[in-house]
Amino acid sequence: MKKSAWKFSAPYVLFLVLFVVLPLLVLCYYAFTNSSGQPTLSNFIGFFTNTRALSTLLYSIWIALVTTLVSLILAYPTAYVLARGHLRNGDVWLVVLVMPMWINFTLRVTALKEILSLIEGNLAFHPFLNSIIAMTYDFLPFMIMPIYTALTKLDPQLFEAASDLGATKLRTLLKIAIPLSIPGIVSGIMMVFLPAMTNYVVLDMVYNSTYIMGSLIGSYFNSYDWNNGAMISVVLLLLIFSVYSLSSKLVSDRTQKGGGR
Amino acid sequence: MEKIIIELKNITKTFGKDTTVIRDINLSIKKGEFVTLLGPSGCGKTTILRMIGGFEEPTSGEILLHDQNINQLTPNKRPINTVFQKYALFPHMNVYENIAFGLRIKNLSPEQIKEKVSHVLEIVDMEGFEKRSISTLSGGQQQRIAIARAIVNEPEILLLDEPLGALDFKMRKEMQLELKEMHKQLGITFLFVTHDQEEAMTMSDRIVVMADGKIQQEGTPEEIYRKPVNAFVADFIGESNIFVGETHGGKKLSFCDTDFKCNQNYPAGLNVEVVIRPEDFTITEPSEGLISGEIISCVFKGTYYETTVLNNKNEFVIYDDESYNVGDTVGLSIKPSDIHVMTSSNSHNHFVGEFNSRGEVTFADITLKPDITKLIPGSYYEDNTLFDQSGNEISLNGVRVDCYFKPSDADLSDNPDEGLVQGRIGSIIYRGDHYNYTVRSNTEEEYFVNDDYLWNTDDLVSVIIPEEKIEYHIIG
Amino acid sequence: MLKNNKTFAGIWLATVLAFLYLPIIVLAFYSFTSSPIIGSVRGFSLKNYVTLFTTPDIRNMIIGTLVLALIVSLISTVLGTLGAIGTFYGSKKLRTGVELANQIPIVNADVVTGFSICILLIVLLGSTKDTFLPLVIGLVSLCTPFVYLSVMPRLVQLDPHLYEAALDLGCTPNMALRKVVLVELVPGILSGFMTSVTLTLDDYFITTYTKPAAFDTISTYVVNATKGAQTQVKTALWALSTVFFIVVLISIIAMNLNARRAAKIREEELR
Repeated sequence: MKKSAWKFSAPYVLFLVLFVVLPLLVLCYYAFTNSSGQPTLSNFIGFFTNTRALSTLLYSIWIALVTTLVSLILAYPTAYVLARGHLRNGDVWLVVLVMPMWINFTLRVTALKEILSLIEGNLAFHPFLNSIIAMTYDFLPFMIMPIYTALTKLDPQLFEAASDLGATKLRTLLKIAIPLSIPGIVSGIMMVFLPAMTNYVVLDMVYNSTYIMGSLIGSYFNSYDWNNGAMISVVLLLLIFSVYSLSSKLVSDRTQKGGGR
Repeated sequence: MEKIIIELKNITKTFGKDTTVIRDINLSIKKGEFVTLLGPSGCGKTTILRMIGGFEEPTSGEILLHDQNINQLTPNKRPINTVFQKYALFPHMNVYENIAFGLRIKNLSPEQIKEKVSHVLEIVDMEGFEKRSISTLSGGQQQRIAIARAIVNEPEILLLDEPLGALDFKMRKEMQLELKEMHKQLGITFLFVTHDQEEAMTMSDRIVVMADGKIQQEGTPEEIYRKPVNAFVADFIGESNIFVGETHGGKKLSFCDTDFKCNQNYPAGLNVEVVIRPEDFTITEPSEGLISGEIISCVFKGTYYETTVLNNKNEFVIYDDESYNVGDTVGLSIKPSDIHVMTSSNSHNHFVGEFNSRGEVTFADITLKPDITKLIPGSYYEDNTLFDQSGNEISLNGVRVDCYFKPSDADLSDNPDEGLVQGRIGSIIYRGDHYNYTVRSNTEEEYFVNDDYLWNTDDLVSVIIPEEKIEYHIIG
Repeated sequence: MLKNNKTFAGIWLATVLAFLYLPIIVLAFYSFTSSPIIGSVRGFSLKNYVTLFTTPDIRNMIIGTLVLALIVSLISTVLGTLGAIGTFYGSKKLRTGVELANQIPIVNADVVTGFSICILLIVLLGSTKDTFLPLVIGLVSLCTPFVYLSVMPRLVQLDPHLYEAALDLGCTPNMALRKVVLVELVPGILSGFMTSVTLTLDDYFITTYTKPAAFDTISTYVVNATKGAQTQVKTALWALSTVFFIVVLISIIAMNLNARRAAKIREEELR
């Protein structure tokens, strides 16, 4: 059995090669050629010398940063209360908090949009603020979950030991809970920061007409400019996977030091 | 006598490239026997069980069931069932379904299955638990169900892989007796694996003591206790006092700087190990004993006192009915028949090496340049060329040489670069005031080293051998 | 002091919950009125629900999305489960390779995943979008990694002796796999399936880049509808959002009750 069982994975291996790895290679090919198939760097040169394109990149990063920060500020205390607040039915509260994840995000953003319109009158007056609110609304559960998981994995005796040694609640939070839940925080940041950089539909829905990186792909797709679309994708790929490998290294360093259990 | 049911012939098992766990083992088990494989963890006993069960294939050698080679036979085709260490009960099935699992595969009728299941439930004393789910059972109950699930298939051999390891002390004692009783009732051959020597003593017809992938000794519990063949067995089975000694011809020998008599003749000048059981000492007046010492501790152990007596550097552990005062001086006497003498193999390191053209000797994993002028009397160097006493140039290239060093001259270190050779700790024997280690290098060479410090089996160590302590004798 | 902490915790939790739920609940409330905008209350009405279930356009879109989600999830579940079993029992190299590739669609931005599938299948290989093939492949490539990740931990936790015990009791390797291993994986397989369903229902980007022009899923339909100004469609979507909310709510309550009942049965057995 153990000798032959690997065969079961053959269909998935084939699928991964054909539809996960191959598309990325084709993407790279398109990114480094022009519309007549000649190899060229002009797509990238065009992007990095165009101030409007570069400001799109910066705006994406800016929006993602602010969304991540706001989500973290909202999520950490929430996860902390859930994990350590001695609530009755803590697990039920968690389900309630992450339940919105299961509802289609376009419908949820529609609902939020109606409320914001009611409050602000016209959404167009605060495009940036609305984008941040909408993104936070969309991604908040993704930040709460990993932090909660990291906190519940901590040995409760650590907290008792800290207070036994005279630490105040605040000090325990700063010196014990936060450092030990960094793996959770990092994966929460990953789950918010990366999509926030590219999810241009949320911006569209709240009438923010400024482009982010995702919107560029969308507009090249609409104008059948595959080469530039692929170029933007490659830029995003590099950005995403460097952030990802950096964060996974951070998490594995942490866990090796015995951060989690 | 009874027929042999299963036989292992020259079995070796290697995992990966160079992890050998079983080294050329031969073992035969008779029908209906209760045999226990006993040894410390990592000695290979579970691997043997798994090979018999069909979960591992031997790297070389043969497993014969009724004289038929079953090396290639898959587990489902073997008339052998296993009680797994952590029971491996199927969590998605209730008690009844677990026990019926094997019977359903054999396509027995529902009535037959029902009858057999209730019969084995009776044997393991778990009637009425049919509908219970596994997760609601205690460890001891799960244990019984695991046994029931195996024996309901009426195997010819039942393999039990440390099945009592997860139970608490009282439960374990009870299950030991019940298993023994079941063995008598069922007439099935039991092959039991444990690291608990007391358990092995209580239950088995025959014990196979293993260490380091090899069988050290086979025999009835009494034989193994009374006549251990080497210091390892003596140390592992029960408490022992182990000393290093020397024979002086006839029945005379000495250890602890004292002369003793044993009841067997040995040639003079042998390095031996002497094993004495703690209950075989008699505490006497200081003047009446063969050896005397000061009592350094006396602890009540429930049914006897464990008394430790110190003589110079040597500690004697004695079990006695009476309590003694710490600080008193007492004598110890021993009957000659209670002095077990072992002509030990691991009291000396002996290798055969060979010279190369540069005047270096290679033995085992080690290459050294001995001072040849001391080896060959009268020889001398001139301009890097070796001459004998009559001035003829000599070449030692290819000359074989005996190399010796004493375990007590070598030392262990955890710094891999400090010693001459690296290896892993194979077996450990406590010898009164130090430990005797077998260190095995990755080329399978064995080195015997004495060290005061306690290492663990499988620790990676390097062996420090002072070059001046190695003796060389040119062969021929 | 302790009491203050509790109060603060309660207020905080209530605020976050309000942020998350107020829009959905307000929308649900207005979906039962005839008001076209939020804020002005008119009478109770089911007209939004009538529109939702009777407009052929909307009804086809919903059914289409559900059928798509089901097909994609089934394919992903089979592919991911087999993939996990195969790599778990396979060589270390295979497992490292698969887990690396498996991570790509999870980490990657959906925009990029969708666009890359589109480039490969539609631009390079000239496959027509009308076959639904690019769409299904794109969504399967998004969902399968999550199935793999929910099955793998169950395999890792599985007592390796269970499989051996099945062999020991007479199973052939394939029987042991079906009767013991697969059964033990069921919770992981189910949760992988459920994740696939929600991912497909939620997806916008992969769908946009690979779907047939005339086909819409809930996401693409809603985004298009918010761009247009058809009030009737807009308020029907409030109803859709409410239906979604209620379905999710009911399934979560059902799952919770089920878990509690199972725990209670166990407790009783133990007595």
